[in-house]
Amino acid sequence: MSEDAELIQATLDGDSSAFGQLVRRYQDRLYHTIASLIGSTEDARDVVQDTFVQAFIKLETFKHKSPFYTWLYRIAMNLAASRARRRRPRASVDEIRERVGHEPIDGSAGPRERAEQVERVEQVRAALSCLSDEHREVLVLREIEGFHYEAIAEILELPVGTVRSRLFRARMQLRETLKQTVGEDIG
Amino acid sequence: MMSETSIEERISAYLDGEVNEPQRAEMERLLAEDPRARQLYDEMKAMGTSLRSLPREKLEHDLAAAVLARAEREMLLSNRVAKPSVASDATVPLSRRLLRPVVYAVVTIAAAVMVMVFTNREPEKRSAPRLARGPSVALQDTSPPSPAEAASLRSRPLDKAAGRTAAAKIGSTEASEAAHEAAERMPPVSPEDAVAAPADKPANRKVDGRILGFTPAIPNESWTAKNRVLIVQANATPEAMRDANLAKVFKSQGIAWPTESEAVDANAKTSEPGRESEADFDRADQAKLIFVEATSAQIEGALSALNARPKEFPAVEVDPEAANSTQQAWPAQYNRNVADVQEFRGRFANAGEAASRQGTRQSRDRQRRELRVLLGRVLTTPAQESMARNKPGGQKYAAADTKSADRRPGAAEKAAKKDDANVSINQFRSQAIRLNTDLSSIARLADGARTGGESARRPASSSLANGVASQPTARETAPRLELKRREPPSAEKSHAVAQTPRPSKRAKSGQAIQHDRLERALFVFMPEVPQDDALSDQPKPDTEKSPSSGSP
Repeated sequence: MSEDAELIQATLDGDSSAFGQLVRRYQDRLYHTIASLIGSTEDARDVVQDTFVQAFIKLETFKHKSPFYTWLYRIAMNLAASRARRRRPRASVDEIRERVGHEPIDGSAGPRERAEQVERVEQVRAALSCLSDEHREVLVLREIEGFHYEAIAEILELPVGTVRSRLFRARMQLRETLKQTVGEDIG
Repeated sequence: MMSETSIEERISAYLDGEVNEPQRAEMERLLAEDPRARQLYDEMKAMGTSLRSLPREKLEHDLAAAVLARAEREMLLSNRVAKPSVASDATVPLSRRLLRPVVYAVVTIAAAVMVMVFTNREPEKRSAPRLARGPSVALQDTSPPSPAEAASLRSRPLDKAAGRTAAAKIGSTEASEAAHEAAERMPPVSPEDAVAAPADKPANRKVDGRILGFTPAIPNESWTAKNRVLIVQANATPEAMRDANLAKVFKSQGIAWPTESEAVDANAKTSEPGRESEADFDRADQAKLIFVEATSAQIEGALSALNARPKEFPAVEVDPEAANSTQQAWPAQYNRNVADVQEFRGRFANAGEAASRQGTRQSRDRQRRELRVLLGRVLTTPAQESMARNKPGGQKYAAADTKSADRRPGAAEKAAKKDDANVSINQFRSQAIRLNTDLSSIARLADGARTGGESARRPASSSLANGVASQPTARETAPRLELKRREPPSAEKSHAVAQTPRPSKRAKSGQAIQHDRLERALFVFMPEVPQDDALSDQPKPDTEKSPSSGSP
């Protein structure tokens, strides 16, 4: 039995602190992914919290057919999608710029390199935020989370073939967006 | 073009390692031979690297505590438990159900605090918990009614109290109204009607040929009430519904009543003992839920106190299923788990919402009558279902057991750091908490809990109290609860009218030890609505009306 499974069982047995461990284990990972997805740290925090709350309430429905995190992610994606529908327009580039200013940048880099890093982060995030929701979510799941197609398909409840084609289109769309802001050479 | 797209898609899949061996070989050959394909591959790879190198977002705080608190609140306050998909508690693992007492404890504290902001409290000071008292009043119906007897309950008046409780037992509007009409024709039952009995013997009396009585409430060691809630429904006159009078019942048993010092809102309106404010009296026609956590002796003492005042509390009914329960361990009456209470509150809130929406006095009175029927249905859930939900064991939170609780100064605070759930229960000791002051405030409370409390901060002077329709909220526009979801209880389920035991000095010392543990009870006080008032659209009854005249 995996450690997650043990914690889940402990939770179901009445030890809510076990669920607390699950929260602590996954909250940052989930938060980073959701923040990348919806472009707002404030909303991401709410979504992550809602996700864990829903997971706790529905924990008995988890069948262990997939990793716990995959199941958790499915809840998060649904909640994020709902929030995105309610909150349009989505994250603005200004918000991204503002946030970038507070992010840690490689301290060993020189001023010029650091400025370029900041700029690069800003460009990537801005380009990501320009993608459609369905393209962004599949790209985030693949590139940031590193999920395999099968897991992405399970999370998004799509056929694997759709994931594959959607991911390709997302990359092409991101490529075009970056070309517009960076120039021809994005490699 | 199609071929080109296919190549690009395969490059994307190849980049992700999501190709089979022949496809991989083909792509390697293509990338080696085709500069354009190679460039696309490199660009895709670079984009992936950029995305993965984005600075990691991290939460500043540990979400665990907030998540658990919210989950618990959701579980209690949401009407999720009233939906068919989750209403069947038998499908929920036992272990899961055992979390609910903790859930209930935590959320009830929060709910009570919020409610207290808007409500006047009886300003008497909290009295110290008193453990010793007697006698036990575990209600027992030694003779469950036969179908024929149940039929007679529908058609034949018993006495004032039995007539009203019969309405709830039978659980239909028709039966309810018939029973109320029957009760109206009968004189009230005086305390002398009850046959006093020694503390070690049941205080029995005969009512319409049925033996009703109390049995000593001696806890069985194998039995645990940690996850159980006793439900008590009491009809009360407007006079008795006043805070000060209700407080007396509980304070007489050493159960602390919410005091002014506990007010969150410093501007909360107060009233002098015996001189209730107009607002206080106005609430006297609204149902009240009082959640009590105290020793079983204290809870039963409160029951006894209610029964000792039949004019003010014409009908006092312990969970009607209790006597029919096949559970032998004491006391069978505590056979409701928190899910039942949750469901009840959900229905309660729905009834309140409906009342708020409609707004007119007639509709509110209709809702009030409907609520009575609802109460009857909730409280007459088949015993088997309840038993299936309440298999003891597996509960990890033992804070309800005072023997295991550390009572040293500061112990509760230390426990809080270890386990929020435990300390929540610790804070509950021997106290009563008002869960609501009117039918619609619970709905607002639930709204407020979800929306940061804004809606909960509306004044408690609801449309129900003032006859003014409140602004509809999203929640209020939600579909109404299907009132007929539950099957009407069978005639065999109806029974049990609480009686009036005489307090026993002899029982004090022994039972103080036996009952040095905490139980939970939900007291539901339903206002007795004068029939003419219920059918009119006139202002509320005057304050000079005698308690007994408040009966329907």
